[in-house]
Amino acid sequence: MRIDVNASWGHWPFRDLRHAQSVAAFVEDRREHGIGETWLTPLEGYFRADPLAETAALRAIFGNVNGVKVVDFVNPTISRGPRSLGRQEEPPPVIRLAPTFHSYTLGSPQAKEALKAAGGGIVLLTVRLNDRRGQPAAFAVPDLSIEAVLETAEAHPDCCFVATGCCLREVVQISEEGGGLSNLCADVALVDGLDAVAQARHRLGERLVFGSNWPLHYTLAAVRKVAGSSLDSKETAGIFAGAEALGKVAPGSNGYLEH
Amino acid sequence: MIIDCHVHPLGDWEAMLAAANRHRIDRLCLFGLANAPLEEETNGDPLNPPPRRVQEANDHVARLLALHPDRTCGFCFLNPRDPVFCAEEIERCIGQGPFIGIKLWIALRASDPRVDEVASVAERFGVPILLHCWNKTGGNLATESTTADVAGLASRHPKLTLIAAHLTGIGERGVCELAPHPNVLVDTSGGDAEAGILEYALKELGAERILYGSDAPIRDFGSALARVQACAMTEAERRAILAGNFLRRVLHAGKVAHAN
Repeated sequence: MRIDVNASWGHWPFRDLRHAQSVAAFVEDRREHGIGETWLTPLEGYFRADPLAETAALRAIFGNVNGVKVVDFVNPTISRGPRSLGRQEEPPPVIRLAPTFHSYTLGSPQAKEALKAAGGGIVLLTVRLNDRRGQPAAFAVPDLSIEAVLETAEAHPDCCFVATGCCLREVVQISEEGGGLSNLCADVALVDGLDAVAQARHRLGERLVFGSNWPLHYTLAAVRKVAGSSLDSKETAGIFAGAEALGKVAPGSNGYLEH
Repeated sequence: MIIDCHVHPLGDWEAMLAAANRHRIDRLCLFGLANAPLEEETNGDPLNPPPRRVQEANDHVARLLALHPDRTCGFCFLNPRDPVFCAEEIERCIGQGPFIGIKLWIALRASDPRVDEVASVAERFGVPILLHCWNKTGGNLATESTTADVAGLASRHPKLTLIAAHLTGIGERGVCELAPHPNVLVDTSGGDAEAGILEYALKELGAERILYGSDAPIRDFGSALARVQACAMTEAERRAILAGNFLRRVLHAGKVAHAN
């Protein structure tokens, strides 16, 4: 099954995203590209202080949509984030952190607390949402450094991290500097360049998973990068279904999709 | 039919051709880059490749054009800082050779008078100029054209066809700045496969002013093609962007140039 670990939903005030204005359009996009499961993050969570509130709104919309897993988007600097995680009996299966959007570092006490609360689960780390060169000037956000990602994965071996929005150069950096970190993965959404997905797969093996960055990017772009690469069918299937293995990578996971 | 108007034949050519085959791309428009010229050759300015490097880049493309005449076409790569050399190289590559257009290196902004000199030669030959164009948050390189620079060049040379490369890089603002200049086309390359910008360009420019381009090998053919294939438009518009506009505005002009 194709699993998209990196999709979003909601209003994006900086561009007219007409292809993403209804749940029906989302469902059709998934069907068209053979995606059986989507991990969905609220877009508004990126530019509002409390993304967990946006997560709740998203869950209200998609609660009954098959194949959708709403990701708990946490801003650890808002007390509600880590505390609400701590209140749950089990850690949420998948959370997202976007440190550069919410102005904290992964080494901060608040982030460490959130990661501790998420222990055993899967943590999506937003490296970037889009190319900095084209960001709206009023919403220019730095990229998350791969050094910070590597340090965090090493410091929290009980979590499984997926760095979303890495370019090929950063995938290479992860493979060279974090080769032994089996709990650190990356998605293909912003891996680009001639046959770059094949190069990334050769670097990361099963730690390269499918993500589209829809609706900011076209789902078809991510699909074609994988399906049209020089990889064989087993390898491409491995990327498309790569997220299935993430629960196994995270040793303490209780099954990442049980919400 | 699919024609990619923006391909740099760098690295493993056979691998590039194989990738183009996997994505069913019929023809690649090639232009070289004077990559990594020696420091002593450029007086420490990597954006200023000397004539020898420019000629090497064009010779490399010419060899590929001869090897694959049915799968390729080529633009003459030029550093516009030396307009006299540019005129000679245009004569060599287009007047006497197989090239059908010009690709300007980002050694000068399109607002520089030296670019006008090259544009005048291109006008005389009746071939288009493709030039890198971006509107960067935080500012461009000193010699990197914005759409305002290209719009100015277009207004000074209304009979010259310009191709502003990198639609995703110029964004909505760039589309607005180029819209009043019908002699400017845009290519769909640049940056990631962001949704929404091609839809905007379609609305403001019309499909007839848009060419499919990938910027391979910097970008993947698949992600570049997906922009055109995923964007909502009519099939006639898609055919125009993927090949029709190039055939009409570029290949045909190149044939006329060679016939003359």
